Amino acid sequence: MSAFAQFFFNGVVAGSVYALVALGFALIFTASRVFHFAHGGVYAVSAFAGYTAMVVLGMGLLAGFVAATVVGALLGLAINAVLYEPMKAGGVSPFVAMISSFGVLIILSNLVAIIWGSNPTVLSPGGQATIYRLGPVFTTGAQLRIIGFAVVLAVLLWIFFRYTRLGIAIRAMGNDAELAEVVGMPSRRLRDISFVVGSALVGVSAMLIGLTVGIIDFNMGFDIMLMATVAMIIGGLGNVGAAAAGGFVLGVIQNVAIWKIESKWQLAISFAILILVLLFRPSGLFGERGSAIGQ
Amino acid sequence: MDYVIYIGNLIAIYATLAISLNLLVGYTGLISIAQAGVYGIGAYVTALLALNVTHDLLITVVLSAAAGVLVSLVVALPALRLRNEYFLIATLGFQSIIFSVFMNLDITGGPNGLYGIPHAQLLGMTFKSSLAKFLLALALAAICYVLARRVTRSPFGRLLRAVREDQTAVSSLGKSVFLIKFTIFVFSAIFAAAAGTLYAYSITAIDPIAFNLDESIFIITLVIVGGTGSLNGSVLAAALLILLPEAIKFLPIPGLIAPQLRQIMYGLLLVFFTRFRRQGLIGEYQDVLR
Repeated sequence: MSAFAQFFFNGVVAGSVYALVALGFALIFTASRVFHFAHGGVYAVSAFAGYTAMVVLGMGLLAGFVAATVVGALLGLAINAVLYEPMKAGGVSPFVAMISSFGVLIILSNLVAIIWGSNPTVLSPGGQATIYRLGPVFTTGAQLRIIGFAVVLAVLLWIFFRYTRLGIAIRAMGNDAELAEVVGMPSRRLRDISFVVGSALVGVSAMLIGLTVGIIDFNMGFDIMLMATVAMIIGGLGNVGAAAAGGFVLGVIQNVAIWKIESKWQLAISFAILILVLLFRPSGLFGERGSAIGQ
Repeated sequence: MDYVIYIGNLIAIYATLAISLNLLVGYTGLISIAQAGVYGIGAYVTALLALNVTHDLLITVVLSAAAGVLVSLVVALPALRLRNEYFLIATLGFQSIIFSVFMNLDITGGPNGLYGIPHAQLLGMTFKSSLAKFLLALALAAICYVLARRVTRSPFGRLLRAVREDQTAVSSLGKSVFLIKFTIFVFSAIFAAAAGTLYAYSITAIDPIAFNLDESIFIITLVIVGGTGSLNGSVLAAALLILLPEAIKFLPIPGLIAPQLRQIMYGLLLVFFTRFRRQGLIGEYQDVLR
């Protein structure tokens, strides 16, 4: 039983990581309807920007977070301004923007490798972490922090989209950009705001996750993007809270599964779940029914 | 000289892959990023047969293609019910699962892959020299090109385009959209798997990395750069995108960052063509990608 509790808890920790990245991804999807895979590239660049400020320049933890957040926000804004907005203005569907986005992910990841090297880089020397005991499970301060941040951010964003004018406006625009413009919403500015906030979030997440794992590398954006995609689909599209919940569900299933199945199959299990959800519950576990999937 | 022939061999293999994927992407509007997975199935089945049973070219090609088709059908059955983004994401899922299988099974050699694959034999001939292997790959590319041309110009080819343009209209005429998509999936898988067979024989050692997500994105880049719906474009793009990094090798760039530069170049091409020239170098319509 205590083994199960530990696996479950590890799942919650992993789930927080996925939820943190899925939050920004889902925020951007809600506003622009683009599967912004380049988000993974922004994640990697932010982590290394934070590393540069904190470790290379020795400016401390806060500077690391500020650098990661600012660089993330600017990069996200730039990708929208240079790529997605012109495509949208030219009448190109978000689907083509999604394919473009793969290109940006590849470019950013490999730029990181050229600038900072392709070997794994130590962000925080771990090893001295204190281990706490919570009932049947063992944990560390970093793990608790990451769960706390993921839950708080998810709740804040959920409230934002549910109850604030700005949040409701962004959702409305995601549903029907033309209609939103007709009733006078500044849709371009709303999308820009979403890219800035979503990308700033991924900057914060990159630092939090980097500090917990201890090591960052240029390819880190690829795997996390795959998991964020799975999280968003199994949670439910176009709903930020659902995407975060999907992240937690994914993390827990992955980790409870390795209780019985060898851990090397984790990735395959995640994608098997993705395909099952796409087939049998395309609106996701927590999304509203009748979403845009299927034919 | 051997090196030049080897590059030619690679171009022929990638041209085959690009044509096979273009049938899905350009003609039928199905943007799949699992093509490297099917290609890998062909390569692994060939390697396993050649190492353990027979390295007769004909037998291994047929069995590899059969395996490729089988796996492709597993992908197709659920994925064909989904549209655009969701189809792409489902194929992304399958690509990752196939890669994970190559990586984790014992018989596929795990991360190390399989090596010491014997040379292909056909009617007592052994394809040992790089020239012989190149000619073999060229022959496959030619067969693939000619057949794809015939299919796309046949009434069935018009049906494919009709599915791409308006599925509802096709169904309303009493045609089964599912069956049409299914057929082209099978056709595409046969050639992708056969390309895998020739790859395994020409390199004589394979590992999972050659069939990962990056590789699938590379094949779709070939299709988009060449032009969706243009077979000539796919061949041209395969030649250009394989030759370009070779040309860059002559520039004074530190060897360490060369692989990254190549990836950045491919990424830039993908972004450039989806942003500024969606019909590709010599594509049929501007609005296949719309």
